[in-house]
Parts: sequence; structure tokens; C-alpha cells
Amino acid sequence: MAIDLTTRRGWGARTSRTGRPMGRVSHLVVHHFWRPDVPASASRATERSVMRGVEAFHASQGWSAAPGYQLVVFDSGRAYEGVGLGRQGVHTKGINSTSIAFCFGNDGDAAQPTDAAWATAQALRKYAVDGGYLTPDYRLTGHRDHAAKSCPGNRTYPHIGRVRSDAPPTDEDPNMIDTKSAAHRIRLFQTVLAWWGGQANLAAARGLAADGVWGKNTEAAWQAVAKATRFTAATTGRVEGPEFVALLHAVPPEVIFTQLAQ
Amino acid sequence: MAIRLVDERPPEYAESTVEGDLAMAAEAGGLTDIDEAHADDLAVGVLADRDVVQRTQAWLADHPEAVQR
Repeated sequence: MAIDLTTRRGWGARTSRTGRPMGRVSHLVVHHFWRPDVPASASRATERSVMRGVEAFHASQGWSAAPGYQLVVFDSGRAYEGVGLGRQGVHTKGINSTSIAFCFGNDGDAAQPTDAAWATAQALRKYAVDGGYLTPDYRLTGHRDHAAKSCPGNRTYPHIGRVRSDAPPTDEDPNMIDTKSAAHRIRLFQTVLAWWGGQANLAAARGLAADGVWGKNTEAAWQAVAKATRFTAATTGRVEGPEFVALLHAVPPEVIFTQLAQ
Repeated sequence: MAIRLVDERPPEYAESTVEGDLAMAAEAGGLTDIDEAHADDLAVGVLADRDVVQRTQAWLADHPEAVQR
């Protein structure tokens, strides 16, 4: 089975190939369009037209690359060249010259990408590493890790680790977290615990560092928050179900975004 | 998984227009309001394709509802 990667020529880009030449980088950032939100059932012609529309819109912003992302992946599983690998994009303020961006052409606040889109993103990540555009030990983040935005969307962000995996995609339970969860999810949980620590004046949780590692400090913070909120915390190193959802949903989104952007 | 490059000019290339493509994006939900979270100083440059920029700006002036926030 092969996936389609349509080049700028193939989708009919109107702007000349732009973006400064860029060497191998060590950082991959995941985005979503949000708008437009292109369904999996869209035709190739529709996807090409949307690509040209986004290109025109980004060009009108005065950007040096249009579209601003290196690659775009639609829910159909088809991929399109944005500014392209090896060229500097315009996607994440402060790290445009040291990172590449994959953008899902959907609304990641409403739904995570389809399995076909995840599989394509994985293949493109391997393509980027094998092609020398991305170091094998690259860092993987979402746009929200760098700006006070929801991008790549609340439904997509917990799963961005799927871009890294060569294994068949697994749908990590968004309502559970444990010591083996991906670092970005543990960071999110640590941010939540720190917020609760501030609200309830819990020394063990207040100011907890969001370092992505579930160590003794994180465990102590979780136990303190669980006690204060009258959650069970019966099993150490694991939080799941309604308690996890309740902890997350109590925290204002802007608090999470602000803290993760630090 | 193998990657197959599609590099032929699309059949609609000659007939497509900037305005038609912007309308297609608008029909698919709109265009995301772009803010400072994307661009930095090094990412702002001069595109040679002024016609695309001017036609887009004119279309956006007529369709402000297409830009979603």
C-alpha cells in the first residue's frame, strides 16, 4: 500500500516555491487547520482547491512561505506538500527556523484525525527522518506547547504520539493516564495538579514542575490533590475514569495553555 | 508504507481561480484567523506573486465572514 504525497506542482500552487532553505532540524510540531475542516469524504479536487485557498490566504499575510506548514495531511489519508521539507515554514513563532510542521486538515477540537491520516503522518515522519530533514531523536510537540492556542485541538493533542509510533495506531484512552503515558500527557497532568495545588493550597502540588516525568514529586502531588478532592487515589501511578476527567475539566483551558507555553 | 509522489499538473489548473479556491475553503468552514502565534521576523518575507496577494485581499474584503476566529 502506498500513500499519495501531492507536490506543489501537483496541487497547482500559484506562488513560487518559497521559504528559506533549511537543513536538518530536530523538532516536529503538529498543527491542525481548524478552519477549513475538510472531511474524509472530500475529493482530490476539493483537497487541491482548499490547498490553493489556504496558500492564497497565507500569502496575503506577507509570509515567506505559503502554505506555512511543511506538509498537510487530510482525513482522507492523502498528503500535500505545503512549503515542503527542507524549506523554512511559517507555523510556530520562535522556532520556524529550527522545526518542521505537519498540519492535519481537520478541526482537532471536534475530532482527532482518522486512522488513515495518522498512518500517513507516521509514514511522512519516517520519510522526513530517512530523508535527512529530521534527526532521529527529534522532539515532538503540538503548537499549543509554544503558544496560548488549542492547536492541534483538544481531541488531537493527547494523541500526537501516534506520529512517532511505527506500531499500528492505538487509541490511547484519553480518560486515563499513568506512569507510562507519553511525556506530553504527563506534562499536561502535572500542569493540572499544579493548578489544583494553587487552588487548594497544597504544598505537595503547588508549583509542581511540568517535566513530563512521573516521579515521586508527581506521585506526591497526585496523592495530595486526590485527598483534597476526595478522590480515591487507591492505585498509585495511575489515574483513570471520571476522576481524571473531573480533574481536567475543572481547570480553565487558558490556564493549561498558558502554563504549557512557558 | 511507501510514498507515491503525485507531481502532474491537476486537470483543473488552467480554469481554477484564486477567488474560486478561497470560496472552496470558505465552504469547508472558513479560513482561520492568523495571529502572531505563527510568524516571527524571519518568517515574514516578500512573495513575488503580488497578483495572488492582491486578489486574495480583495476577496477577503468582500467576504469578511470567511475568516473564522
